[in-house]
Amino acid sequence: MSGKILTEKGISFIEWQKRIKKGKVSSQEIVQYYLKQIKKKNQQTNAFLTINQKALREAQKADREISKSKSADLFLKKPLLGLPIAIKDNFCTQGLPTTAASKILENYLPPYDATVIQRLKKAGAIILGKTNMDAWAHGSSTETSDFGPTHNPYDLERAPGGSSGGSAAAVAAAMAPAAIGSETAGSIRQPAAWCGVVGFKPTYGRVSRYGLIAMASSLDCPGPITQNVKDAILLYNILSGPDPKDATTIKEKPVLINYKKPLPKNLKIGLSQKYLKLANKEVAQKILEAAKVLEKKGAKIREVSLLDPKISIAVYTILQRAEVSSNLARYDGLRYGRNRSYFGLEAKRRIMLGTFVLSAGYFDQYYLKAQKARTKIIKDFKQAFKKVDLIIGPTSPTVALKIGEWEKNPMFGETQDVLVEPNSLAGLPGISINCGYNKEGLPVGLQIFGPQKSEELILRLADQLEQWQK
Amino acid sequence: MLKTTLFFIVPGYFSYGRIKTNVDKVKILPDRLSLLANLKITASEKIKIARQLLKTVNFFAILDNIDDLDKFRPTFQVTKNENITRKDEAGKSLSQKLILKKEKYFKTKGGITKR
Repeated sequence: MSGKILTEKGISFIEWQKRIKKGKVSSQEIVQYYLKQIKKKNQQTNAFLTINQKALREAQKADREISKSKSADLFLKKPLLGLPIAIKDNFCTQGLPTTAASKILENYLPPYDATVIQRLKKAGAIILGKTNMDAWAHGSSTETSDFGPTHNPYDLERAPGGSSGGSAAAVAAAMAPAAIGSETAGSIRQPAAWCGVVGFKPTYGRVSRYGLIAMASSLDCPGPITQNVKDAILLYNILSGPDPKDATTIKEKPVLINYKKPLPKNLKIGLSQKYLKLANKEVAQKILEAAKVLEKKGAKIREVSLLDPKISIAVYTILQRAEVSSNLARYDGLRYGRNRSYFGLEAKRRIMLGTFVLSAGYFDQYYLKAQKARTKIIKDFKQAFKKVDLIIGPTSPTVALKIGEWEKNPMFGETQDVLVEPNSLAGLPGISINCGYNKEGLPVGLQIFGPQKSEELILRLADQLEQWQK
Repeated sequence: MLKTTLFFIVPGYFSYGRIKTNVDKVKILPDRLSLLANLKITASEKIKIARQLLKTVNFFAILDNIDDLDKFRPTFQVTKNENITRKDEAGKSLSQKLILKKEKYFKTKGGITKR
């Protein structure tokens, strides 16, 4: 390892929750601790773009509420009361700058909160600040940010992954106890894998996109980035559920997940050789070791035959660029922020490709074909899940790469996310957890994904595996 | 900015690993695309973007290798949400007379002020 290390084993969200409930610590003390951590480490990591100047005042308010309340139900109603959380900078936060890491929105102050933010605030959480990301979430390394790249706390010369790289780096460096990210295809799970933390992407539509700056609307999905699976469960229970402001949310209410519930017996878990072959040897080895742990604990590991994930690179690139060109058309300098000349090269490239695949003469050749291939991918997964309950595999083909690698390949993000793109295209839920480290001490991520709406099983298995690997 | 349009014509044969496929000739016209996308690009960006777009479009040929693609209907929404709009229901409303009586419904600042 060549760069400086800034990782730190932090105190989990659930641990802070216990301490605050017992009166062992105040919300102000927690917020002050993280503000100090940010002051100490942000210059090197560039994980945060904005710090909420009102965070301490809000913590004081939370402390007053705790001391005044005589009701035992207070923490049932507000399970996150007094706990600070970091937010990716593409979620609208009322009165707090929201830039999507683009100069276009540098001075944009949203007049409203995203549903995710509303739900966190309702649960008592305090917004600590807004985290860095690839500009408009275009990338997988947080290097396309107009405000400079984020550095991986495991090695500052390496990228943290992306596009939610600031959120993942903040959690890994104990600059925040937990964070919120968003994913189109891998933007939560891949940075979580590269930074050795947990990243959970629910089924498309489980968490509202209202107030999330749109990238590719048929794929975008918010989710938590945390230190452990239990924290992810806590946040998922708060964030998920239908929202009248987002017509694409799933109408049925999700099951509240209880991690204490035992796993079903004879759990069948799939493993695909095609996925393993795309990962480097060190990464594939760690996945096989985790599979052995699962087998030892009674799970049945089965080989599953899945479509070549490389097909998904093409499908994803076409669909994502098409939706990007449409979604970013609104930034015309009249309604939001600055004019279009402020778009960075990556955004321009994506908008132009999207315009191309949607243009007359090419629509059928590219866009429509990609939508048909998307159906084929969905059906392929449906077939696979007739044989197994869940599938495991590497989250990313590699460990964290050096800063600067992305510039060498115009499809860098797509190739880095090749192992999560197929399940994202199908709208499936998935999680990335740490499953060890390579020789250089860099974290390796393992993904578990399942059929739509199988969050409960995924999270419970991930929680168990996390315990078994300790 | 270059005034001439750059043409990049892709020969009809691509390869990606072991996959080989035939695709029609593809023209990438950066000037036309930037105009459609309402983007201004510099001459150097134009050359860079056009080359990269071409490389990316070449990769899409992988989809031509899927034989049975026409059997599938396109997917636009993965969770199959349908009929998201409710039926219109006429609710009670104030009468014109009542509205005109109550000034508060029309209290707005004048759009044009006297100089």
